[in-house]
Amino acid sequence: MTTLDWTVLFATTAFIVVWGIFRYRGAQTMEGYLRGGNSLRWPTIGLSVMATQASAVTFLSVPGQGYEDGMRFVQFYFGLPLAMVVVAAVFVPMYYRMRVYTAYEYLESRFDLKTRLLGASLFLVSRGLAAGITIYAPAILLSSILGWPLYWTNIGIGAAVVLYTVAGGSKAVSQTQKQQMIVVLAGLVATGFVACGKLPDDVGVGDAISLAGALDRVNAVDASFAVSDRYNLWSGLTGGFFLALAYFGTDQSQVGRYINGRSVTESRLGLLFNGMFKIPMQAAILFLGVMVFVFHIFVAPPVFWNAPTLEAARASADGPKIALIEARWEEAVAERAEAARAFVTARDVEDAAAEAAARTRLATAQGVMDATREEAKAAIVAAVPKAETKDSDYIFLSFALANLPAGLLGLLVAVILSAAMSSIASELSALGSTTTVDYYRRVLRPDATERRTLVASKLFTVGWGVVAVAFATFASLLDNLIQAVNILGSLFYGTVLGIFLVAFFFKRVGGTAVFWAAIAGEALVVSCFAFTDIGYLWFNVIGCGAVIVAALALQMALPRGPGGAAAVKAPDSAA
Amino acid sequence: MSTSDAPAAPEDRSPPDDGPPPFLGRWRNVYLALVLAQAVIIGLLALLTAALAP
Repeated sequence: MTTLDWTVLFATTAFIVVWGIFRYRGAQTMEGYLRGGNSLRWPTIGLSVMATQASAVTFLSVPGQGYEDGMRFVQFYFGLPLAMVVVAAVFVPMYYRMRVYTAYEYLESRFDLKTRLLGASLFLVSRGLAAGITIYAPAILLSSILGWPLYWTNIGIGAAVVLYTVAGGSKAVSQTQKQQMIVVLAGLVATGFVACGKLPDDVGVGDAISLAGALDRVNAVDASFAVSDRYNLWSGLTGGFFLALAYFGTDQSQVGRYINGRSVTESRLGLLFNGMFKIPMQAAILFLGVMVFVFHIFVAPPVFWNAPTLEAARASADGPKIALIEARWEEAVAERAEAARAFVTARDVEDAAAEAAARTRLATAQGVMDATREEAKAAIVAAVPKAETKDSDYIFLSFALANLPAGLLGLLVAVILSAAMSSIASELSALGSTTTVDYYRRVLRPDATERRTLVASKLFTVGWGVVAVAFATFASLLDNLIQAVNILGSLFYGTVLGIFLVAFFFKRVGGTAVFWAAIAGEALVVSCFAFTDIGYLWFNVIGCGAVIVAALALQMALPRGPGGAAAVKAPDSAA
Repeated sequence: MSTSDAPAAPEDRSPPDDGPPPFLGRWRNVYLALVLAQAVIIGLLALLTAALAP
């Protein structure tokens, strides 16, 4: 990185952090600290909701996914707009009516304390561990590619977020997220222009899109149905809908973003803003990855994108074997580039037969490259046993390092840090508020003063920050645990959503029935994960459906009484 | 008696507590516009996919 890159990076990041600390410090009440005094307008809420979901990994991994797998991942978001409508229409007015600080407070007013604590516990476990990964994922990439020390990168990101989150509370989180999201969008647009501008002079954007299509990278919609297929139209619309409904409706890191609006109208508009622009934004990020793929048709890509690992494999005893594979790779790359030029020329002269022949040649060359790459990965693992073969996360950053002009690279790293900090801020804020409101104030110290509760809330936020940084610091020792944490989160959402949907729509069902239904639903989801190959998006549908059906069945079987239907509380009795 | 003749907007922070809120209410057209806009976007992506499939 050049001096200009460092200047842009430091100025952008420092401004947001310092502004977040000093502009919004000094909240004196729980209302001000946890709900920002209910003062936010819809643009801030919309960008804040968007920034919370889009972590640094989104901007590092998704272009890499576009490069490797095309645009099919966009289908993951197809159910989101409809989920935004349901959250705006049902969840938002309910939370405003109850004037809750956390989503789980509502569960006690509707059911009972044990159901509230179950919901809060599921959130704290899954989100508490995920916060560490949110720090670790960008830190490991920045440290391995830019040579930054991993330990200090983790601490730097964590400390900056804790400072402005604790100083300014929820309002600081939302306002800094607005600025961070503006930096992110500006950085992506600039990088997109550079990626398109780097194509050879005789290859226009139209040619590039056709080339990407010929190599199956413009595969945004797949209408075929397979339960084991992770991303298709049906899993996106159904599983994606339930996942988005659970995430935006019941996850405190999102609920905390929109319950601090000026009114129900502002919160609704913020959520609908997210529903309107999420699919286009994700499609644009994937398209950026596709353009990087087309760029690398003409500029030879490495056989493996994680450069330090590739170097280690080259330097090992298996080095000669790696060199042979790389030689074959280069031949296949040259053949694909030649086929691509023939394809573009055939299109220019409108020669359909030559275009079809070039298309076949392209696909064959790509097939050889794919096979060679798999061979290279196997050889690298044999040479460096601890090597991680998934290297797609390194693609976009490697492209940026090699091709972005001075200043823009600094902006892109600022984008990555901004995206990381915006997600972590929401997570720490939500973890702190849930620990305070659902445990400290409700169970441990119900008689604590406002002042003492506010101090406790700040201390809990710092505590969760320390846990997240500690987890991120030791995450490299726990590769399998990272995978487990990611799966863990996706396993819980369906169950929690089921609890909330029963609360909203099945007034006859009481706390005991829904509590045990949630336990049974969770057991079913874990069984599906352990014993079937069902795509994980479907777990949200299965978990939610199981909780609703089991709750209704149990309610019919249970005697009426405490915890039963007769014990359903009035909605204004929130703790 | 209300201090203002203007009817209270249903989105105000303190709506009446009796029963669940209307599912769509006067926001129905806004929700419908959002869903239709997204259906058009998905349709365009499907057309692009079909047109450029290998």
